[in-house]
Amino acid sequence: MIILVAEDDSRNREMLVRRLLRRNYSVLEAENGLSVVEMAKAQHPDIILMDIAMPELNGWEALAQIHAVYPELPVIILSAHSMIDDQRRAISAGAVAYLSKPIDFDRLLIKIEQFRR
Amino acid sequence: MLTSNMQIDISQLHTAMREISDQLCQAVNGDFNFVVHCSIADEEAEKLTLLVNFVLSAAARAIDQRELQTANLDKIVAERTAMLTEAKESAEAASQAKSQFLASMSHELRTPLNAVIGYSELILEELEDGAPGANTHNDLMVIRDAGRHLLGLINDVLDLSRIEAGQTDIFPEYFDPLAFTRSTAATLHTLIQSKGNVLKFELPDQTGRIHTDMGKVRQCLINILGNAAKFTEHGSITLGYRESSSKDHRRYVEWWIKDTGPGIGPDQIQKIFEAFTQADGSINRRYGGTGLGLTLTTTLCRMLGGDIRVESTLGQGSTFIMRLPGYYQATGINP
Ligand SMILES: Nc1ncnc2c1ncn2[C@@H]1O[C@H](COP(=O)(O)OP(=O)(O)O)[C@@H](O)[C@H]1O
Ligand SMILES: [Mg+2]
Repeated sequence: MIILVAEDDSRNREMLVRRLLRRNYSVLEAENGLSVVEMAKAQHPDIILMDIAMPELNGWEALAQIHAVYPELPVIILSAHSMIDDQRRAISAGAVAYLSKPIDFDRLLIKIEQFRR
Repeated sequence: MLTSNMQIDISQLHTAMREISDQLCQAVNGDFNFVVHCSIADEEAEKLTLLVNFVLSAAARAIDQRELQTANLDKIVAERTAMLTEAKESAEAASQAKSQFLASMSHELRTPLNAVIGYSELILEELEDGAPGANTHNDLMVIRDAGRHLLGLINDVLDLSRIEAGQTDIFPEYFDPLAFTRSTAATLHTLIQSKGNVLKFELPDQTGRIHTDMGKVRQCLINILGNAAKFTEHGSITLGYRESSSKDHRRYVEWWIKDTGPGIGPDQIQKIFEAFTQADGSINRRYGGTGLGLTLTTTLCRMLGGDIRVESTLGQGSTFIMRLPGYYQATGINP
């Protein structure tokens, strides 16, 4: 299963990637909104874990662009914004789940496994 | 004589009354602002005309007065409405600023906390596997840095909210600004040198003592100098002090901090004084910082009766100028 991790904070990205690798997932990394859109198109991940506050293109815009091409691709939003509005917005924008940081990793794994094909 | 006179008078009076009543028709529309004329030279007719005109002018005056009162009332209502609207809008703006602040603070706290919790769990996982990774040392440093960053953030936020709640007192004292300036700069010596920068002073040979809250001025100077040192590489930082007097002949003192760093673009230059704003979104990763330093500095300067401004061109360095009254006087006005 290929997971694309989009996160601009390098320490948090590296941590997430290493924890996923330990569980034998294949992991791809993107550090801004533009490259996550490009990688989604070029590398066909099974699921995307996406931060919202990213440079170039924010998570909302990236999500819309990806879903315009792959409407079925599951996207989980991981955000440090934890206002109730963001959660609602994530679901109405077509994300399959919204997890606020600090991330509950076990919950994240359960969500990811729900989308194993 | 009497009889004939009366006869004439009656027919003339009839004409006079018709004349007057014709003219009075205008009053039917509510307009009393006119004078009635009578062409008949008769004492009674003239009396009537006079009385009618008296009543007309009284009515006109009464109406004018009522209109004036209504207009006044309208004006008062309009003024009060404007005042209320303004109060409502500024209350709304304040509450929006508060929730924006809370949202940003939540974001700024959660990002380093994610690193603290995530890296701790990662290290624990590796230990439980019996294989502490080669990265453990680095990972622990990430946790420590994130923790320190959180501490800085919490201190700044607490300082700000204490000031806002009016819980910060000012302790003015007399001191020599030149010795103070040198000793404050000395505390940043390592940071300045670590980026290959040189520090220059532009201080007058001698100057009088000043009277203000030394601790708060030190905090401000450290923030501004710290920024100059943080954002400038292999350049120079100049710390200057001068006295000036304003139009009101009060004595002011100024510190200016000039650097040869990256400068600040026109679209960012006002925003950098707002809470949690950094000119470049990637700054936090490269330079650390909370985006609260200048907000706090501005608030402190205002408390002391002064202000702070910046002159900068992108790519050509920045100059921050902090101006304070040479003699602090409590005004009783909340900052
Ligand atoms: N001397 C400087 N040169 C260039 N940019 C500066 C300078 N001082 C401040 N800034 C800009 O203003 C922003 C806000 O500064 P500050 O409120 O002190 O927050 P912080 O230092 O935590 O980022 C900085 O992130 C930076 O973008
Ligand atoms: Mg700063």
